[in-house]
Amino acid sequence: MVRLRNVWMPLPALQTLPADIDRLFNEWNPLAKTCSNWAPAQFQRLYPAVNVEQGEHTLLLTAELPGLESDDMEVTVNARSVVIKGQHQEYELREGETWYHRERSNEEFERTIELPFEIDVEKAEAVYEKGVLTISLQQPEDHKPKKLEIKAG
Amino acid sequence: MTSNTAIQDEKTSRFTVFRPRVDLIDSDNAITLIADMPGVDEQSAEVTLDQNVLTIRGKVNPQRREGYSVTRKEFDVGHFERAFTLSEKIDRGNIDATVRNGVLTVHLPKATEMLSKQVEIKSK
Repeated sequence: MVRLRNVWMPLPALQTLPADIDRLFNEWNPLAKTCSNWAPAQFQRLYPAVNVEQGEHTLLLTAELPGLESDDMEVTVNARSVVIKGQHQEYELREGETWYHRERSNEEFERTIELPFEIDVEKAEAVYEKGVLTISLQQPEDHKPKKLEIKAG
Repeated sequence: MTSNTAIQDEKTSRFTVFRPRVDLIDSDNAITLIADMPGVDEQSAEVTLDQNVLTIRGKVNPQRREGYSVTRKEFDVGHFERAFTLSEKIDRGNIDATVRNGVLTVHLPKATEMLSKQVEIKSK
């Protein structure tokens, strides 16, 4: 009997297809008859993929970057953006070894993520664990909305 | 040497399962498999060799953070699984697997000595 394996395996290009279609419709301007900004996501080098979670005054960015050492990457935080930059190290073949199959990245990457609100650069933190980079950001104290006490006139 | 087995797309788990990206390196005496499994550590990774099918698995449970809502989602978090059919005999006793920074490395020594061992013929 064949053992069933529940493995999800779309073609890599298909993973980004829904987002690509959305962008095609959103960005294509029929009047200008151009769609200059449109290209499949994999050609725009949107790497690493980033998830953003938003708290009340905090942001949490996570990126999957397996196989790096802390020295292989650089995170730069600005008030309204975060830049993740680095390079995957290539496996060094030892004597007698040959590549049989390659899928993993050994490329340089750089990505800028725009933030939805201004953050306090001093309070930004980055942790790299189990191949996942987590960047936590906070809104500056004085940017947080203040509830006013309403006084009777 | 190795080939990806056919993968049936039957959902039997409530978790999303991903197929990790792998590199395979061959040499006369070993096969080395390197798999990207972000979020996996030595406790949550599993390597099994059943007959000639090598299966690698990694468990990653998506975290739900209290007070946070997802505003941009470019990747999904879930388990990893992939199986390979090996056409060469492996020295089962000496398989070595390590996980570092979300990358699983499996070293599979080939059982060449066992295969090419000449049988000594004794005279009576």
